[in-house]
Amino acid sequence: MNVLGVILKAAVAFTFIFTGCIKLFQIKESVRFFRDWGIFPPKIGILLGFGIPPVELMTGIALILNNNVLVEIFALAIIVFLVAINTKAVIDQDSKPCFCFGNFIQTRLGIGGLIHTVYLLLALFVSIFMVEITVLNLFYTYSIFNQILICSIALLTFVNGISIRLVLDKLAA
Amino acid sequence: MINISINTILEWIFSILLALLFYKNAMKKKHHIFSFYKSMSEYRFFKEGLALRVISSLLITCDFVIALVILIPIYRPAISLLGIAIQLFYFFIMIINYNLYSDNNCGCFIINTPYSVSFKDITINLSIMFVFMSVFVLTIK
Repeated sequence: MNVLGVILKAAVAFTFIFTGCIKLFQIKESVRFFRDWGIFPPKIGILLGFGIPPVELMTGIALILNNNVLVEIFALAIIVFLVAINTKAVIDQDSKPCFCFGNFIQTRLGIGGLIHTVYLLLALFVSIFMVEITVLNLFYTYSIFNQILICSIALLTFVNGISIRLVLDKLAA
Repeated sequence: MINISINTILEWIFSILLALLFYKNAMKKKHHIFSFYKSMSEYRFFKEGLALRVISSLLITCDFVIALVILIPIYRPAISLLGIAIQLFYFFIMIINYNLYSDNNCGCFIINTPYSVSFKDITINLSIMFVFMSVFVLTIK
């Protein structure tokens, strides 16, 4: 059960690292996007534009290197926030553009985002009670082969999440 | 010296908050039981009848059970899962009935059965679900 938990947790961590890195590389666009998004007031938007990329990146890294319950709760909070934003887009039928993956992958808020965030929420929640407290981090196993295997399956799970989102975005458009 | 970790403190703070919230909510629902039943019957999911009478009584009982049992540490994981399930149930009901105005609702229920379903109520619902998740995670680790 530990292995499955670590795979799911790593998939969520990879998603956070990927989104954090892309936004960090395009920090100016990120600030501009959150300022003009219309969901938050401009001043809060600027703060979010600066704050979200490093926070996502650090949460992703902490999820991989740590088995700390507070980090996991923080990651859950971020995902629940994303679920709320996507739910609003679904019920208002207003699919605004989303800077979730920067300009690298164009996505929109809506059903695709909702399914993707619920997928991440379930993955993280299930992984939390599968990974034992003795498993300190992703590299708990000393076998290099197992580490590569875990990383590969986690990467596939992460790509699967993005694919689901992109397909649903295309269908909803 | 008493050694209490931050996780235990957080777990107790969240549990007491949830217990107070659900106890107050359950008491309101118990006092206005017919209003609760009628507002549930107006939602686009249920029909008036014996089944809804049983479901609405069960929901009020669940609120009381959560309020009392979440304070007992050994039952906390199970009751957190029940709380998550109930919040999910109300979440779907609210999404189905978004922007619905209930004529028979007294507007006195604190959570989950609002007078008119708005995004604010859905956000509150999700926040409570997040607190239940946090309690569950803090308890099992």
